[in-house]
Amino acid sequence: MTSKMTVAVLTGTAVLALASAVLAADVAAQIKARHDFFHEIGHAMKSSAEEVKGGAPSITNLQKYAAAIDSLAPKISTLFPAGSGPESGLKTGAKAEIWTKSAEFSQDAKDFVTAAHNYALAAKSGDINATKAALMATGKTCKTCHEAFRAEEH
Amino acid sequence: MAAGREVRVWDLPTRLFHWLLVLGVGLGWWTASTHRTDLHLILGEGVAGLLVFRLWWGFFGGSTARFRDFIVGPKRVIAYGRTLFRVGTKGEADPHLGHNPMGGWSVAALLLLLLFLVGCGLFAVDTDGLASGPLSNLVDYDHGRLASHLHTLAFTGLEALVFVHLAAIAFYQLVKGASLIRAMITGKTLAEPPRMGLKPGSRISLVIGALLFSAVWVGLLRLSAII
Ligand code: HEC
Ligand code: HEM
Repeated sequence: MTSKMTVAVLTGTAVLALASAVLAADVAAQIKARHDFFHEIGHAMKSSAEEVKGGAPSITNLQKYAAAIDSLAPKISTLFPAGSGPESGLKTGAKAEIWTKSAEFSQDAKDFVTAAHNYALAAKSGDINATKAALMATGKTCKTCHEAFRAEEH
Repeated sequence: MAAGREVRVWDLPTRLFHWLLVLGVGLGWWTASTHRTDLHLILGEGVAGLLVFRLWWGFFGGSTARFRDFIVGPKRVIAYGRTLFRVGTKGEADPHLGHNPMGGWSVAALLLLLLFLVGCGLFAVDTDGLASGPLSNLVDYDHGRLASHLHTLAFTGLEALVFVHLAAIAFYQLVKGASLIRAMITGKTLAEPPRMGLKPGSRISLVIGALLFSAVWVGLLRLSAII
C-alpha cells in the first residue's frame, strides 16, 4: 500500500466511525427525548389521579394537568423515528412491532391524542364527572398502546 | 404408624390464612400478567390484610403459629439439618410440633418477602400514572415508579421462594413419608413420639385479628378508589 492510500483508508475509516458515533448519539438522544416526554406526561397523569382520588378535586388543578398533557400529546408522532427501536442496542422499551405494525401504532397514538384533547376540553367545561371520565379514557389509551408496543422488561 | 397418635398442629385461622394467601398470590399473578389492574389492586389489598392478620397471629395466635415457637437460633437449625435426611420424623433432632427449625426460617423468609412485595405495591405507580397503589399519593411519581420496579423484582424472588417451599414439601412427602399438605388442610398430624397438640389462640385474639384484616382491606380499598 502506498502512503497516500493508507492515509485515504485511515481517513475513510475515521469518517465512518465518526459518522456512526454521531448516529448512535443521535439515537440515544431520540430515546432520551421519548423518555422525557413520557415522564412528563406520566407525572401529569399521576397528579390528575391524586386530585381525583382526594374526594374533592380542584377543577383548576385538573385544567392545568389536562392542558399540559394535551399540549404535549401531538408530539408523540415524532418520537419514534426508524432505528430507535430494540435494534439500536440501547435501553428502550420500544418494541419492533411499532415499525412493523405501524398502522396500528399510529392508530393507538391518534386515539391517545384525541383522548388527551377530550380530557382538556372536559376540564375546561368545569364538569368534574365528565373530566374524571375523560381522564380514565386517556389512561386507557396509554394502557392499550403499552400492552401492544412497550416491553415491560428492558 | 401405630406408635403415633393424631394431634392438632395448625389451627383453623392459620390454615385459612395459608390457603387464602395461595389464592391471593395466584390470582395476583394472573391479574398482573393479564393487565387486570383493578382486580390486581383489590387482591393485593386483601393480601395486605392477610399479612397484617398473620403478624398479629404470630404474637397472639395458636402456639404453633407464634414466631417465638418457630424462629430459633442457628444451633438448633444446624442440629436439625444434620438429621434432615432420616426417613420419618422419629430420629430428628428437636422433634417438636409445628414448623421445624429450618421450616420456621423459610416461613419467616416468605412472610418478609411478601411484606416487602405488598409494601412496594401499596406505593407503586403504573406507567399510565393512573393505576396506582392506595398509598402512592404519599410519594412522587419517580418513587412510585421505583416502587413498581421493586414490586416486580420482589415477585421474581417470591417465585424462587415458592419453588423452594414446594420442593421442601415434596421432599417430606417422597423421602420422609410425611404429608405436610394433609396437615395444612386438616390441621392434624401424626405425632410420633406422641405429644401434646397445639395450644389454640384465644377467641378474643381471633376477633381482633379478624377485625385487623377487615380494617386493613376495607381501608386500602377506599384509598385506592378513583371514582
Ligand atoms: C402510541 C403508543 C403509546 C401511547 C398512546 C402511550 N405510550 Fe407510553 N410508551 C410507549 C412506548 C413504546 C414506550 C417505551 C419507550 C422507550 O422505552 O423507548 C412508552 C414508555 C412510557 C413510559 C416509560 C418511560 C421510561 O422512562 O422508560 C411512561 C412513564 C409512559 N410511557 C407513560 C405513558 C402515559 C402516561 C401515557 C398516556 C397518557 C402513554 N405513555 C401513552 C408507547 C405509548
Ligand atoms: C399449592 C401450593 C402450596 C402448597 C401445597 C403449600 C403447602 C404448605 C404446607 C404443607 C405448609 C406447612 C409447612 C410445614 O409443615 O411447616 C405451608 C406453609 C406455608 N406456606 Fe405454603 N403451600 C403452597 C403455596 C404457598 C404460596 C404460594 C405461599 C406464599 C406466597 C405460601 C406460603 C406459606 C407460608 C407463609 C407458610 C407458613 C404458614 C404459617 O405458619 O402461617 N405457600 N405451605
